[in-house]
Amino acid sequence: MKNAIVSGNRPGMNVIARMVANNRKAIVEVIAALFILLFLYTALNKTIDFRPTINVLKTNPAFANLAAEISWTIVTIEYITAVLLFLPQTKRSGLIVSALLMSAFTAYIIYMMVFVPNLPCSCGGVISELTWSQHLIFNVFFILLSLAGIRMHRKISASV
Amino acid sequence: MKKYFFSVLAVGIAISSVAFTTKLNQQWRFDGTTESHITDYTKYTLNGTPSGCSSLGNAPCVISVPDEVNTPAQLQNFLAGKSAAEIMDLSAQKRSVE
Repeated sequence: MKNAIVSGNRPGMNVIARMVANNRKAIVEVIAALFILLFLYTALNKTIDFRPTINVLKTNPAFANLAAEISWTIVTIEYITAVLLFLPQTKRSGLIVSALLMSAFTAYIIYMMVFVPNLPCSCGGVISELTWSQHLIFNVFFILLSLAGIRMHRKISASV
Repeated sequence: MKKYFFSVLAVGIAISSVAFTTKLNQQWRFDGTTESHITDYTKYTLNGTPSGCSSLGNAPCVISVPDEVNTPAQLQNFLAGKSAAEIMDLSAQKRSVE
């Protein structure tokens, strides 16, 4: 397929591929910025009001005793990840941590959807308008975005 | 400065969004066992951990009320005049009672 694109057998895709190749740096910047927005927004919301997050964790016996500690740990990691994404020197690390973090959140959502019969509400929580299924799709999208960002960053580093 | 443009923009949007959209709420867990308890302020526990809740049911799970409603007396005032249906709307999830 790559040869077909380069040889011009699929002119539409050729244009897109060339656009992506010429704007890799900008695309990586935009992806990193989206993750900064996501993590900073959720971390700030949780910092202002922890109760919804702790309430959701407490409904699961596996996390009930450490609900507060887990909440603080997640918020701290989100702030650190936002900083890693902000600094050019650590952007790649930030994208990797973003992918891992989103994967962990997605695994948690899948676990809750499969094993918890009555899903708790995240009343007042961040992005609370989303259902658990919508959250799952949202997370998978961002995982794919982070992987795309990591791949593009690697190509930028290789071409320098 | 150009390389920080998108990142700084994201930080600015995040802080502005939180400043303008986040409002503190109090969470009162419904502990009643019948539908008639929905309007009874004594059947609610402040910051109670929800359990047994889902998207279906005939009673509220945890109601979100303004931040200043943090005592039973204030909850009584807040719920006064509200129907069970209006109180149900304050709860994102529901539970089933008799």
